[in-house]
Amino acid sequence: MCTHAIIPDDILELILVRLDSTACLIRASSTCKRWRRLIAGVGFLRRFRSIHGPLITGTYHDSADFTRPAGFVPSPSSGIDGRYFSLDFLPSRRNSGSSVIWTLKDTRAGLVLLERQDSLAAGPYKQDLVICEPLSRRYEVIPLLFGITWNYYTEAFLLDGGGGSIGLSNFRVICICAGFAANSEHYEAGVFTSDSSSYGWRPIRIHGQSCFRCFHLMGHSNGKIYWWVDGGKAVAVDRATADLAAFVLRDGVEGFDDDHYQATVTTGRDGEARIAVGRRYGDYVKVFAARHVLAVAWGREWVLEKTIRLPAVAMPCPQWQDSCWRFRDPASAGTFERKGTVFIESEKLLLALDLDSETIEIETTTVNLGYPLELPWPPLLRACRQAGIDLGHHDR
Amino acid sequence: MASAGSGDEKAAAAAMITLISSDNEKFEVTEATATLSQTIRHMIEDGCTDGGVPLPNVTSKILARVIEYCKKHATAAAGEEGSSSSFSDAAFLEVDRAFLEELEEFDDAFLEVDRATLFDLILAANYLDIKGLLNLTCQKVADSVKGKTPEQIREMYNIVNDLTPEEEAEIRRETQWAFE
Repeated sequence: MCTHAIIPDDILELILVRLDSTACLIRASSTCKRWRRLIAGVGFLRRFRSIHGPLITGTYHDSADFTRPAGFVPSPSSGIDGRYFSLDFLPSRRNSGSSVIWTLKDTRAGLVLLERQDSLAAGPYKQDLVICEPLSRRYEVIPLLFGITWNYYTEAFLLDGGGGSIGLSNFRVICICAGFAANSEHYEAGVFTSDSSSYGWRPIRIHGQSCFRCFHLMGHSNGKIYWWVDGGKAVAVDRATADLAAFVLRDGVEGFDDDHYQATVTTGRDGEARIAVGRRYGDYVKVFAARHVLAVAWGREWVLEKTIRLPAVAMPCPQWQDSCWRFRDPASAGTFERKGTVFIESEKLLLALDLDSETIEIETTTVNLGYPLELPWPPLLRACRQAGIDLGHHDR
Repeated sequence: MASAGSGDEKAAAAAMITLISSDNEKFEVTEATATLSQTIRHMIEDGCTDGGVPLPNVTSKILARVIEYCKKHATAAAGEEGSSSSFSDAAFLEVDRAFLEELEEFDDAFLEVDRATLFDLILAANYLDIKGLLNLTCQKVADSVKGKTPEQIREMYNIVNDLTPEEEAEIRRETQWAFE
């Protein structure tokens, strides 16, 4: 008699862990209670994930006029119908009743973070953040609570919640706002925690300071996000742990003040982060690398690796205007990254500066990568919990 | 073919082991073949194989298939050991490619069995602790479930549906995307 009943649990797990996709796993979990119990086990799900890794289902892109939440472009290889990722379940209006403007801020795992802003007035408290899980069509509104009352710029990123995992009930958001408070213009930053014991915003203070003249995004490298802050300081947050670190970049005894210097981050070909600092209207780029040492933040210290003189490398490029250049804004949606390369904008040109070979080339890539969405993990397997099945947390 | 392994095989051929199936059939195999099973390897190490190894959980029909698998793969293992003492990428590359391809073809043909036999092979591979065979047979079952609906899976493996219609509907609601 051919029956699965003769197969003990531990062998059945060996079979189930080899299923080729999460969709297949979910279908298998609805054949009977025994299979569902095994698949919902914490240890089993961990083993399945370590073998299969995340699945990118597609990418989100802002709608053309921002009046609707972002649209979804499914990845052909995911095999999942794109309409399950539509954001049409998000409320089209705020309490005030006026229509709203939607902008994508970030995606992480199976979550999407958007900003929702009143289209009519740019007044106090006219925007908030909306975090949602498209597959389960659930969302949560996060009010922006800062000292800033007239906010004209918001930047926000999703961080994992506690335990290095992320879901709609376990996430953190780091947010940078620029605006006016008490007639002065400044930046404020904070971290939002969804956990009920510490729910809410905590302002980010750096050496006691919580208002900043400058809090500019430098970019991403190795799972960390970097900003360039007042007085030549850099701030980095680890997206998995939400650990924050602030450090000062120095060239000899001199620091870099934010009025005269700009900075960007990239990942070197050795896999380590590099921070490139340039003087506004200057003719050089200084490259800093993290050296592993004890007794400083994250056990790393940033040291000057090299100085690249731009006129020397820019010669082969006749359109180069050495008086007016800046690092590409990493906040623009769908920016691509390349190892060992920083991008420079000069006039209408986008240039790629290779930090190793010290050469500049005109960048022709114009793809909009959008914001990728992974299939949420672990999959929703709650349905039978209420039915009294013991979803065993058996672990090995 | 398999020139790297033939010398070792001859050396091992001196030691023969007798395996006894649940229905009392005796199988003479080389030690190299038998020790693909960790269970038997431990018995040999403990010196308790005189007079044959009784395998009360394995029928002669299944044991014959398992031995067929082990013979083929013992030759491959001998080839690897001949080129390096430990399994490494470099050693792996040195194994005759043609032989590896032949081994893959053998595995594919080996798995062309009905489902009852496949499950018996899984149980035997687990009992005898033969990693390669266990991986191979479990993967075969997992592949057979690919793209199937829950109903089709139940039919294939005689699974009794003990979920109520309400529970099934709730699962569908929760993860509708996985069912289309």
